[in-house]
Amino acid sequence: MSLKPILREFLGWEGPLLERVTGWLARDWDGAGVWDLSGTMLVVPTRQSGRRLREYLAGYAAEGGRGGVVVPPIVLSPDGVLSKLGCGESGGELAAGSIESLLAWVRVLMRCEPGNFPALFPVPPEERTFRWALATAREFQNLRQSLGDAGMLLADACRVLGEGFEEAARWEDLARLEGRYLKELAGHGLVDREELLKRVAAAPVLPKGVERIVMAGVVDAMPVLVQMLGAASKSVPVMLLVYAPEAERERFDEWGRPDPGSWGYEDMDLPLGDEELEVCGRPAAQAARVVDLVRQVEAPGNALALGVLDAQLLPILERSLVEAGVDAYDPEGVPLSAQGFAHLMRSLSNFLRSGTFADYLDLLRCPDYLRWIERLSGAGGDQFGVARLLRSFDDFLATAIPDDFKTGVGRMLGIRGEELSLEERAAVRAGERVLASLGGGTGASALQELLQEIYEGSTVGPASSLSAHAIEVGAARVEEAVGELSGALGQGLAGDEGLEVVLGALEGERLYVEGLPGALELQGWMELLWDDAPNLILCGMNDGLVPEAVVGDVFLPDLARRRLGLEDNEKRFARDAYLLSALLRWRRSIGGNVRITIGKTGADQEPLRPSRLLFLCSNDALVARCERLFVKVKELGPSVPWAAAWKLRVAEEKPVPLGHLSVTDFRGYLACPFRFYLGKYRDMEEAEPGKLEMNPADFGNVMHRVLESLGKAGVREATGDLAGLVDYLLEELEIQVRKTYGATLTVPLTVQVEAARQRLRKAAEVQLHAWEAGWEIEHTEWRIHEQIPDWTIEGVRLRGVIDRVERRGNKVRVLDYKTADSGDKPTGEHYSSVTRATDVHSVPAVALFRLAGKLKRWKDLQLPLYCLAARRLYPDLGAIECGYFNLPKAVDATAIEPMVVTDELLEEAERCAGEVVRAILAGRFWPPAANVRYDRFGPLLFDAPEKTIDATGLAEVEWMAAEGGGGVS
Amino acid sequence: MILASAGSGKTYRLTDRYLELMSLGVEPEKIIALTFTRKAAGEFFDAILRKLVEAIRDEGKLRELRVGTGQADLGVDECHGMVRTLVARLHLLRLGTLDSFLASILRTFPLEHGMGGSFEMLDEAGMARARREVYRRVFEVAGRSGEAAFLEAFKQSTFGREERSLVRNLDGFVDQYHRIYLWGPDGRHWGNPGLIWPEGQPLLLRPPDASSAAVELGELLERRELSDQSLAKWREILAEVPALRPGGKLGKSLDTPMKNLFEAYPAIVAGTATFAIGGKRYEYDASECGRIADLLNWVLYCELMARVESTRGIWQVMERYEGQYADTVRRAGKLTFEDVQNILAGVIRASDEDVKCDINFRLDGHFDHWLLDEFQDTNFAQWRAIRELVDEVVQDPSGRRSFFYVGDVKQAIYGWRGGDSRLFGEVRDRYNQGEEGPIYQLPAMNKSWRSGPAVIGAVNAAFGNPERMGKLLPAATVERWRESWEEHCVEHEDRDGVVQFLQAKDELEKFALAMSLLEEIRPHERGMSCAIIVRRNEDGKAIAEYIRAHSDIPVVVGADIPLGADNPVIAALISLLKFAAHPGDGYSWEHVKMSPIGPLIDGRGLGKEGVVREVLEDVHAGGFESVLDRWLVRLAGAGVSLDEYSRMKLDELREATRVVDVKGERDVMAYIEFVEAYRSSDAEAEGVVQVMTIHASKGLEYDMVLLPGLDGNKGMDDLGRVPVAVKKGGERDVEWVLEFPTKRVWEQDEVLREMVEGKRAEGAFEGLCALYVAMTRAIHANYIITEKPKTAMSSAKYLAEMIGGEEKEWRMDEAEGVAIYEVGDVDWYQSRAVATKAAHDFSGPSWIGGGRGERHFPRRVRRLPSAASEEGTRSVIGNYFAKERRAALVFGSVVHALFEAIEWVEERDEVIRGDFGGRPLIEAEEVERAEAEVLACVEKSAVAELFRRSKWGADVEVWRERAFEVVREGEWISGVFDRVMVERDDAGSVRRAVVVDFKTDRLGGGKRADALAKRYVGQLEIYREVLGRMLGVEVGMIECGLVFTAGPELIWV
Ligand code: SF4
Repeated sequence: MSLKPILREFLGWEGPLLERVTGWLARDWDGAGVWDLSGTMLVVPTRQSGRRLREYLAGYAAEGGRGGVVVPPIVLSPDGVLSKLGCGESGGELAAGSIESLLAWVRVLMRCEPGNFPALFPVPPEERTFRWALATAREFQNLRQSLGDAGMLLADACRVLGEGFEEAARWEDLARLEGRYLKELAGHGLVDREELLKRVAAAPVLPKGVERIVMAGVVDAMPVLVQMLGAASKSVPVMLLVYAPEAERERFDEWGRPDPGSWGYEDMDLPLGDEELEVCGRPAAQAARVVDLVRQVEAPGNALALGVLDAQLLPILERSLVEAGVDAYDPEGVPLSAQGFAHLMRSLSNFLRSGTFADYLDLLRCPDYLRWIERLSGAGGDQFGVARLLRSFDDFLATAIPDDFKTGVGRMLGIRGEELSLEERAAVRAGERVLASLGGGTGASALQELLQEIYEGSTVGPASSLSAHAIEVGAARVEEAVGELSGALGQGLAGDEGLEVVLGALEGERLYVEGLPGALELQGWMELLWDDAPNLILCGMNDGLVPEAVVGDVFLPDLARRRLGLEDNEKRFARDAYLLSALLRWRRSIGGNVRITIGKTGADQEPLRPSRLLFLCSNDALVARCERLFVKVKELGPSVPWAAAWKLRVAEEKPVPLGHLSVTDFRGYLACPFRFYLGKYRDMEEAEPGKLEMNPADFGNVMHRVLESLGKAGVREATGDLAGLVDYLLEELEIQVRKTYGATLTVPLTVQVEAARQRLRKAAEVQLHAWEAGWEIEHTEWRIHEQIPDWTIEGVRLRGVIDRVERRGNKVRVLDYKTADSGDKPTGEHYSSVTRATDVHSVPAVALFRLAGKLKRWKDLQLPLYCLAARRLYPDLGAIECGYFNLPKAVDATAIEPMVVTDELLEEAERCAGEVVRAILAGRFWPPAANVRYDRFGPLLFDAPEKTIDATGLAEVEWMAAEGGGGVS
Repeated sequence: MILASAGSGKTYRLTDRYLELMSLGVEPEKIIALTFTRKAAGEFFDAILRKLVEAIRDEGKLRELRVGTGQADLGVDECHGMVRTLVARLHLLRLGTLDSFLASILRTFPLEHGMGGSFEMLDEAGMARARREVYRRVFEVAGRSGEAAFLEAFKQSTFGREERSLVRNLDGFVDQYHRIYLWGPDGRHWGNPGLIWPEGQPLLLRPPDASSAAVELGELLERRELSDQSLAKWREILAEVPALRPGGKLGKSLDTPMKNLFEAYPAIVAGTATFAIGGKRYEYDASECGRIADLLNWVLYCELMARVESTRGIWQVMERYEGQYADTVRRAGKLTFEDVQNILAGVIRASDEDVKCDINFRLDGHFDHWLLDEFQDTNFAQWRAIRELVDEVVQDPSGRRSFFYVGDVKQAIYGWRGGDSRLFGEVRDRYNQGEEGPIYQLPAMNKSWRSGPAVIGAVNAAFGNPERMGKLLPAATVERWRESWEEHCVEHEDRDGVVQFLQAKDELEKFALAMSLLEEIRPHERGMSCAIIVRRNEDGKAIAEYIRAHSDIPVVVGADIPLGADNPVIAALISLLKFAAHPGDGYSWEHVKMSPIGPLIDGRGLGKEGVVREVLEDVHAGGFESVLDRWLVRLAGAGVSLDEYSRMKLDELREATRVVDVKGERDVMAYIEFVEAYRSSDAEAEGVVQVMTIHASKGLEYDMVLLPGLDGNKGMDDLGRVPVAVKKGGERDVEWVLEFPTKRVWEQDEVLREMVEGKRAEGAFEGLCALYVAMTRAIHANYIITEKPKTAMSSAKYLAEMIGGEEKEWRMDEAEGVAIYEVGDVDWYQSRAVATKAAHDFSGPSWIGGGRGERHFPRRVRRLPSAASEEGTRSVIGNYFAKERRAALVFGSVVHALFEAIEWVEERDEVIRGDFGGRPLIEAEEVERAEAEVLACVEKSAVAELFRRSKWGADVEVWRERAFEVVREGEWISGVFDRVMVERDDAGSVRRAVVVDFKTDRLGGGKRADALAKRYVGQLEIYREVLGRMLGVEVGMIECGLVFTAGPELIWV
């Protein structure tokens, strides 16, 4: 490089860098009043180091009661310099914003014929979708940005890499594509940022009032910066402050960058003792160790510099420190994408893209959005129920199973029309509004209007609060993005595509936070040199992180980087070797303390190795160093045995008896009294959020309603033969389905309805046989509790609905429809044998009875109780028959399956019912039965109910005794 | 190539090879060493370095290394040099898993494989979600295009079966056929009889004429004197069978007769047969049998045709699914490991042409030497992905490159996820065309460095007797085993221990036996490592729960237990979240209410509505971890103290939660699914009994091992239902696919029968491998505990047959069973003392020595003066997006810029345009408006005097937009003066100093300047003080003015 800084000064490392730089700057200050540095442009490595320096300057000015005030220099990071100096006038051309450049790339990619760029796209993408173009555009943008550091365009890189180069053809393709991209921008009166940068690097425009440029502690000035400063040195003095003793001069190049040739293993023996290095296991173990170390420091916030070199450690360390009572924070802030605003944006985008009802519900669960709906509904305060609203939409989704939002809403209005509450209406309107405003190709600014509307009623705290900051930044990014999208380049994008671009612009944005006074900062590697705390902990000092190593890349592997003069592995090593020795040197001179921890295993079990820098030691020390750093670390995992954290208080007092029981309840109690209690007394029903089709119960309901219609007067006569009956049932099915699911069915529903059709066709045959055999339907959906309101067992009223009551002459038969796939026989469903193998704790004593001398257990009392009910209704008739009308998956097995009920059996059933009711009244629900299949309460019991459940209020169930018969508690 | 048995020091051998290469001068970055797990990769590297370091330190070790590497003159200096080289090139070393190597190739060659941009790996929960999304799209597309075609395909895929759930069926198809489809996407290979039976399938070639057979048979039978019942059944058969069509079913009442008929099928075909129809046995002669055979063949034909049809239907369904999957998931850059393998293997094809990539350049590497560990678990796609690279190496004529692979076919237990142990031999044969090929097979390693004589003795007995094995297992299995088996021997002859084989009467008794052993031996208290190894996760969970419920033995179940499924606190927190997202979920609500969270909710008077609002708000604003933290703090506050186990689990939960939070994911169900599927990483534990599956135990060793769950419910020779038959070619490409018919059919078909035999042999081989792995984990003692085996050939049965001897009563505490094998010293453990737990104290001396204690200046909080005016204010978020506000912001900065350009109004340029950057953020007329407003200020009104040179003395200085940094009351303040005027007298002392701040607030409509000004008092106070300090004057003499440009109005504060 021909252009040189005027002055290169070595600050020495007798004290920390901050002190040295400040001292240098203060040379011309008389030490009182105003310390005017406004004519200086100061280049420092990072945003954070600039801040640190300004703080130090302020402290210095105020020191010793001087009460001085600093008029600060213009402090810039290298990137800051580029944008400050690089975006000057350029003949009336506008620099393209990053979205504009992205959009230009997208356009180029969508239009280009990948086949014309065979080296770049050896395999053309199957479809050139917007998504593909966007992803590829981002890659190219990143690539160009990396090259921009060297002041190069793709075309330049192509030239530099030269012809004999392995991938020359590919780079030529890139260069050609870049040509199109630049043309695209030019067509819109825009000029590419990298191009502009390259142009102005040779002739930068300094801000007014700058009298000199000082670059301090920048160890990796990129070529374009060097070029720019070199050019600037023609008009103002440019000075370089190198943090190293004069004696080290030869080890740096003229721009202060450590020379790779002189920072290698041969050249260095770091002042580092083996005892200062500690290898820890996984991130958690390392974090724990760091917390130990930190806690040994008094006032760590001011005495300690903590470098966190492995980002994996950050969250866990921050949290562990805070738990240990040490205030800690990450000055790099929090990502905007983790803020509520980003959540809303993402939910909007998802909904817009898919348009489904389910995704609308996701949006609905977003509090910002809910507040909007609350306002839209006009229902204030208690009138507006979030829980109610969400529940009702969930329920609707689960019952009507709509796919897209529009149809779903149509169904909702159709079914519930008038009864929709204010809040539900508002939620519907809001969704429609969103679709209307963003759904079409309505310009990008619609987004802002919508956001304004959504957020009309939400507030945030003062600008300094994180939430306000998030909104401020978010709104600004949206503004910028929308601004760029509204230009000609953004024309023709669909609403969701535009939103995706906007979301991309929010990505990577961070919100900086202020720590509490005295809080410990978790600093990154490049910041540490700017910390003057005498004690230093470096954690996560692992290979690949410090120095960062690039091994392999799509476009710029190390070899290419080296040829292009970009930062490569060698340079990074030299830089970091220098940084580490600088960190150590001055601390050694003042007796500061140092600890370095190294991880052995990463969070997802990848093995980690120590940083190569740690082997910058003499040959004599090497073996011991290796022994220290490649030590076996005992990864002690969870050596803690399982324990139940707490017991669920299921019932503190004896449960209040239910006013009535349903005939179908007995089955539950007989299977497991405890689970029956949970289901019945505590109403523990699960929601089914991800439903795509009818569940078995839905399917059964539809079938029930269809079959119910057979009981209407005159059906038999009207339908005539089998074909007629089939037609009738299918039509009825159509009606029922339409009622719940609407006229257009989703594909899975169509399949299910087809299944229903098949079953009904077969059912028609069975029905016809029954009719022919003389069975007339007397009642359908016959409500026991209405017919026999005074029927009680042990004083408890009984409820139940008999699907069908049939009559043939003197005989009456009760039937229950069963639409389960299996088509089980009723007898087996009602009782079974008890054998020696039966686990006693799976059978409550009340279930036992003897049939023909053999011990049996009741599993269900449904049909017997129906029979008993029918007996009351038809007291004069003879035996009551009963059975299942089975409509199973194997349609050939469709049949009316009778169950033989003798008087004896009925008596037993009645007795059992009585005992069950007595047990229920006595609160006998504890403990749960063993060996329950498909246990939905498993997640509460953990198979150790004694340890996980506290059921003080429940009385003990009497189980069958070991040898059958009797009962034991 | 080396075949190395369990515990024989495979890794050791590999490290030797690595060092051998290095000592020959090979640069380490030219060696690529790939292992099966990441952990192994880490251990591998450590072992290399340790070996070198030991050799430097210890003469004996150096000698060992000389032997190991075959470098007789290896010296200390060379070792030193190698250490240097290694540590200097850490970043270039290629040590890792094959999968991560493949991922790095794909990452550097995305465009070569039809991908745009980078990709991310899908986790388990992500896969499930992706699948659902794909279904939805498939349905959507089908719905849009009139759905008939899709329904037709689906119907065909379930040919003859009515299916009530589309989604469940799809799940089944995808589970079963996904991989098959990828390797055989061409529909012509699915259900194509021409490919399955190139010679023709007799039934399909000539379907029997069932109708005439029925008529003829009917006539024949009518002439015989059959019982009425028998005749009636026959009539039924004769009516129903000819009416049968592919996909149809015979009535249930024909189940028994058909069973009898097919049992007699061989005899029927032969010409005479005796069997019962309708309850009575008769003999049937040749003419009858001929017709009967026709009828039966018709039944077979129908079933076979149905499977052919359904297979084709399944292909159609899969094609839609896979197409959509490629579109929505893969092309969006979400890949599974399998996808990566398949893409690189060319299974998922990017184009018709083969793309050739030169990986050396883009991967910054050049791999001359390959070392592959655990090669038996490599799957074919992985191999195909690297094959060409290996080809280059093996076929390199210079002989300077090498390929070295190690493994143990006997430990091939990853077949279920594609591990293809046949590769082991195939790879050798690929390169060794003649006798002497480039691949040398080094002597197998069969000496166990791990296990003692008792353990190895049992292993030899169980696996080293091919004759006896032959009686139990398919011949092909035994043959394969024999190829890779060699008698094991023991390095440490004096290692004590025992192997016992106990049988229990049932499962509970089995658990009881295991537990009583543990209670007797108490390995955790004797400082021994102990594992319970089982076949399936469920078995592990069951036994762990049994032991927990019945004893105080500390058992830890491996990381395979999902987080939510084993801790009440996590379960309750998940319920809380679920309820908030789905307030209709009564289950979650009640669960929360029963837990100690319930009282917290009541105590804070939240109710359902309150909980929903609060939790959703917290998730929204701070992510899931913040919700967890908040409630855990509350629990702690309420005095709920959590046990150590829960705390540990919660740490894992946080780890999982962070993964979700970082992605910005806020969907509660997605979070729950992720957490529920999340498996924390494994770690060794001390002082506990570890429960794990055989798969997880691979590569590990324990002092003692209990094997109480060898079988699960799968046997060694258990075929289960073969759901699908796939014939694969040498490249594992699919030659044909057929949904498998029932036994009745395949038994009669040679091709299918062969298929079944093959599967059976394979299954048995894997069973052997699993058993072998399980039995070779122990250093000292193995306790095999099974139920009394039934007839099926289970592992329990196999072992009993192989090593079982006389039954001996066996009893310990309450538990009882029989011992059928016992070798070694049953009291081996007695020599190890039961230790009492010593409390460890880790607190060493402090690392903080003397020296300067703190920073020169304490860290200060930074404050902006404007913050003073904002305290306690809230603003409407909507306004941030309002045009007016945006305009106002720009307007404000334009006004400030305009003011900055004016030093004195008399001297101002004709046009006072400031520099507003290049972008037209503001309309031209807005700029004009701003100009007009500024002009109004500087020319008229009370404000004007601030800008009029003539109003000031001769020595007046103006600062515009001047920044300052200052420390004030311990705070660091950064601010900017809009405009400052300092007038001095002749002596140079300050006569007048004025600070002016410009405010562009719109006035009017109830907004008055004087009222607004109050808000800014704090800000101006700071300015006043700072300026006072700068000028060195009394604060009292500084004048502060606010200029409201909209007025314009000047207000002195
Ligand atoms: S050579 Fe073939 S298999 Fe290897 S990376 Fe390139 S395309 Fe993939």
